[in-house]
Order: sequence, then structure tokens, then C-alpha cells
Amino acid sequence: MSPDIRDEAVEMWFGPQHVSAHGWAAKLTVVGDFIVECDPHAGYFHRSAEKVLEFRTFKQGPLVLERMCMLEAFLAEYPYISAVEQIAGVEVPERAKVLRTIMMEASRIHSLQFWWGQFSAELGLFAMTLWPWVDREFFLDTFEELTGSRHAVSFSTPGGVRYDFNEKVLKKLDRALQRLEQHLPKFKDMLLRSPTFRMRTKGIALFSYEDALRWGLSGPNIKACGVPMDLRKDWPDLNLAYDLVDWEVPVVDNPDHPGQSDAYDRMVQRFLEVETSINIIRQLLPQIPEGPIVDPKARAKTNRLPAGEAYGRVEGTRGVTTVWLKTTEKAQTPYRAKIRGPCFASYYSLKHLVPGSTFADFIVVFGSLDPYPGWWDR
Amino acid sequence: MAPPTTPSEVAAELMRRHPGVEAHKIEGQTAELTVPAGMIRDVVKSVDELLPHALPESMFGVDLQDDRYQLIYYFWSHDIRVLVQLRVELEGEEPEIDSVCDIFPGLEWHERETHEMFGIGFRGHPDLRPLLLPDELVGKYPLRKSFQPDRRRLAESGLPQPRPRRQEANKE
Amino acid sequence: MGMIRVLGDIFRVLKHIVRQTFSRPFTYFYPFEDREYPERTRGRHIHIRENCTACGQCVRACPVVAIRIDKSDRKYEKDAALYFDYTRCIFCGLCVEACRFNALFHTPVVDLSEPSREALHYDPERIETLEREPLEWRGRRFR
Repeated sequence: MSPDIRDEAVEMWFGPQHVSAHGWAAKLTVVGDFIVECDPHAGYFHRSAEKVLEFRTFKQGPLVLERMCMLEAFLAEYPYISAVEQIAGVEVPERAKVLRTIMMEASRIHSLQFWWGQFSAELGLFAMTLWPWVDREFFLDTFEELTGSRHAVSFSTPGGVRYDFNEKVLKKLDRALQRLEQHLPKFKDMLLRSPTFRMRTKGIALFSYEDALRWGLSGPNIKACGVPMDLRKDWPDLNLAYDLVDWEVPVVDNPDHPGQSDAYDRMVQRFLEVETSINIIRQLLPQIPEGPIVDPKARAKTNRLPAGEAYGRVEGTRGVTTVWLKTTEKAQTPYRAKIRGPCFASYYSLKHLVPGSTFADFIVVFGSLDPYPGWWDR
Repeated sequence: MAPPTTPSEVAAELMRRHPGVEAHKIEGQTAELTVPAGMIRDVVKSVDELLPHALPESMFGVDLQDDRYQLIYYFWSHDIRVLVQLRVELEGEEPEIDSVCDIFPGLEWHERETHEMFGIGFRGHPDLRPLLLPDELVGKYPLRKSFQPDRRRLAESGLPQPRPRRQEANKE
Repeated sequence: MGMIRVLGDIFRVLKHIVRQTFSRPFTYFYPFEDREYPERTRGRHIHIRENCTACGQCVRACPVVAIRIDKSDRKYEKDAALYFDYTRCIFCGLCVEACRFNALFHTPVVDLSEPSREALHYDPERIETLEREPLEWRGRRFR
């Protein structure tokens, strides 16, 4: 920034009272209509989860994790459980593996539906906000039927899952999926063919694969660049059932800018993600084996863990979600737990992505990365 | 020479380039290496060259008590499906280490967070303002084991006080 | 052709209007009517004194220290007094899972609003009674 521009620059805050900025704020330096500098501020949502985890037993830990991101609660609690199971060296029953995978994918669909609505609201397309949220209610009803709670589900536990599927849950899940399958082409038409949407998102927040990786972005933001980077394929997990399913990592490869993605590509990518998740659930539903849902011996083993370290990773809705766990001999609580939320990187990358865009596009840049404050503040 | 494609090859190449780096554990897709504190910049540069399209996944501190700290860096390469863990041992009241955020910008905020939570200094970091903490906790380093959490509300509620318990870090 | 299409549109609009006018509203007349809660709903707890052995497993399982057992309370001779603090409870269900004597359950009562914080500290008598329906739940009659 040359000094004469600096004279004209105005500093202004976006958030934390702004409607779109629920729990975050960014200091923008604006020259005319253009943003020249962006300084995202974190910490409005900080709940000191890593310190809290040091005082919670291994059964109580997942409760903290799922509160990091309520939209993907089934996914958010999994990396911690995975780390605990690695240290204890336990394998969960087959039925629990399939149930976990189904619910994780349902949670991914639910989270993405929320994001379609939120992003469209930020662009001013309110019809698209309310319609997916109606369908989202059906997933919430399924979660409630299964676990007794709509958001804070606490479904998985070290050694298995806590709640079993029954006829009612299967019926509700099937209904939710049917409804979404029926409406998905309509949603696609509504957004992707809408001239307003195309004008607002085409060419906005364009970044290349190499840059994005250096900032730490992952998940759909990278897949939209045409690279099938997905931990569900790359990082085989013993206690999940993705190997039972025949599926491909969805990628968007836009011929206009190969190896790069803009806000529009990321929207298309997130539609493909939902289609993949529906495909995975549809394939897994007839394959649910009979048997116990929790292994009591394995569960008892996680009361006190041996000394060790483990790194639980899962492909969340928003990218690579990990928990690093260190335990001491015969300890009931972790010695240190580190949560890596995918949005920590998304939020940081605003610093590089935003300068150069106009003020009106700022929220498009931010929203297109699908950030959730709970993940960066923890 | 062909670029390395397995965790053991990556570890062997890193150890060949930088004597002093030791392999801690190589298992499955993960290579765990111990790096002397002075060499971290060189090793991270090599990781950048060796791992195609490396993702700086995570970076954090661990308080081992008695003024000993560990820093752990994680890098993931989708191209060859290798996860590299670098482990740095630090000692001292407020230890310092070179910042690597100019090599991987994604680690900038991780370093900032580690600084405010553990009091580890990062030489050459452009911006070490507190990231997550409120003003009254700045400089108190809450993720250190010596930090006393606020128990005022617990006493008011008349609920039983949790027994203080000191966990010993496992000494390997 | 156009005439018929317009007529068709008008007919569709009328169909919607008629359907919306005579169909049941999607909202509930809340205090008089409540939605149906699934069987597993994790609402407020109910404590069954006959089964309780005061082992304290629920207290140990609770991640937020919302349960307290007062062992010195002689008013409840066989069992100790169980206090619930609903300003802290997060309804995770770990206490119900930890109870091996079928003495603690969730109920589908989720509206716990009270005029003051103190009223949310449930004393032993209040936690074993339900003020209103559903009294019968999970094939078991409470009170």
C-alpha cells in the first residue's frame, strides 16, 4: 500500500454486531469501495475447550467436542473418540461402525443444508434460505428420534454408539432423504441458474490449490479446485465403514480456471457433497448388520487409558478436523488435547483473500468458505 | 533421485539432509521425527520441498511441566498420503524458537495461539498479539499446567470441590 | 391457449388458498397443546426413590457437576437426598446411562422455565415428582 493511498484509507469494523457476523469481527481498511487490508479478530466465542477437556473423563470429552460445532455434531465428536480408541486399542462392533458412518453423513448433509441457507441469506436470496431449512427440520427430527436431542446429540461413545436405530428412526431418516432427493434439483436450479447468484459469486474469492493449501484450507474448499483431497478415502479408519461403500470423491473442475476455485465453484461443490452423502447413506442403509451397538469391554477399557499419544482425524463438513490426545498412565482425563478446527484456517485466510475485493463482496468471500466461529475459537 | 513416496523414505531423506533429526516412530502413514530446536526452519523448508503440496495441518504446544515444553507440527500431503509429525523439545521459563510462518503462512495463527497459551516466543513472527484470550488473561498462559482455573463460581454454588490432582508427564 | 393457462394458474392459486384456509395450522397453541416428543427425549429427570441405592454413580458421571447427593440428610432415611441443578445441566444423559438400578430417567418434559435461578435448583422432593402429564411414560407410571 503506497503512502498516498494510506491517507484516504478508512478503518471500519465488520461485526461483531452485524447480522452476518455472529461471533466474529474483522477490521477492514477501506479505500473508496475497495478493501485493502483485512484483520480478522477471533476470540468472541472462546470457551477454552482444550483446558476444559483436561478436566473431563474420556466419556465426557465428546460432549465438549460436539459443542464446538452443533451443525455437524456427529462429525465433530468423532476425532476425539477416534483418538481415545486408538490409545485404548479397541475396535467397535460392526453395527456401531455402520451406524456411526450413516449418522456422520446425515450430519454432513444437515450442516451443508444450513450453509446453503446461510450463504443465500447473505446474498439476499431468502427463498433459498427457508426452503432448505424446512428439509433440514426432517434431519433434526431424525436426530431427535435417535438420540433424544436435536443438536447436542452425544451419539458416539468410546467403544460404540449410545443409541440404536429402530423402525421409527429408519422411517424418519428415509423420509428426510426422500424429501431432499426430491428437492435437490429444484435447489440447484434456484441457485446455480439464478442470474443474481451468478453475478455475485462468479470470479469472487478466486484462489489456487497451492495457495489454499499453504493457508491451511481443506475439505470442499480444496475439492472445488479439482483435487480429490478427502480423508474419507486417504486416511482409512478402522472404526468407520466407508470401505463398504462404492463411492468417488466429488470434485468440481471448472474449465475456466483449472486448479482454482471461486465462490460459485464452491457452491457447486457443496451440492455434489450432499449428493455423495446421500449416495453413501443409501448404500449403507441395507447393509446394517445385526449385533450389539456397544462393546462393554471396550467401553470399560476407556475408563482409564494407558500412557500414549494419538491423532484422531476425520473429514468434517468444512475440512480436516483433528484431535491430538496425550494421556498419562492410568489417567482418567487427557494430559493434553488439541483440537484443530477446519475453520481456523478458513478464517485466517481472509487476511489473504479479502484485500482487493469490494466491500459488498466481503461477505461473499467470507461465506463461500463455510466458516463456523465455534471451530476457530474453540 | 526419485522423490520419496512413503513415510520411511521421507524420514530417511530428512535425516540424511539434517543430521540431528531422529526418527521417533514410523507407523502406517505417519512419520514422527524429533527435531532440535535450532534446526526447525531448515527442516520445515525441507518438508516443504519433500512433501508435494504439503498442508500445514496443525501446530501446538504441550506443557511437560518443570519448564519443559514440546512443540508439535503436523504436515499432511494428499499426493503421497504421508503425515509428517515434527517434535521439538524446548526448555526454559519462556522459551523461544524461530517462526516458520513465512514458509507456511497457515501456521501464523497457530504460532500466535501457542504464544498466548504457553508463553513460547516465536522469533521473526510478524504479529504476536493475543488471538483468543480476553484482556485479563493475557500473560497468564492458561494452557500451562501451573495455571489455576477460576473456581469462584464453584465455591458459591456449594458443590463439592474437585480434588486437586497432579498428573505426571510420562517420561520416555 | 393463454386464456386456459391463466385459468389454470388461478385455479392453482385458489386450490392453495382453500387448502391453507381449512388445513390445520403448523404451529401449536403452545401452553394448551404441545408437540409429540419422541420416546428418547432427554428432558428433565425423574428420580425413583424405591430403586435408588445412593451409589453416587450419577454424580461421578456428570460432566458439569449438576447433581449432588447429600449423604448427611436424615430426612430421607433409606436413601440420600438427590439435588439437581438445572442451571448447569446440559441434558447429556450420562447420569441416566450410569444408573444401573433403574432409579433415574429422563422425561419428555423440556420446558423448565422458572421465574428465578433458585427455582431451577430442584430439591429431592421435586425431582421425584412430575407436576403434570405425562405421568405415564415408557410403560411406567410415575408419582
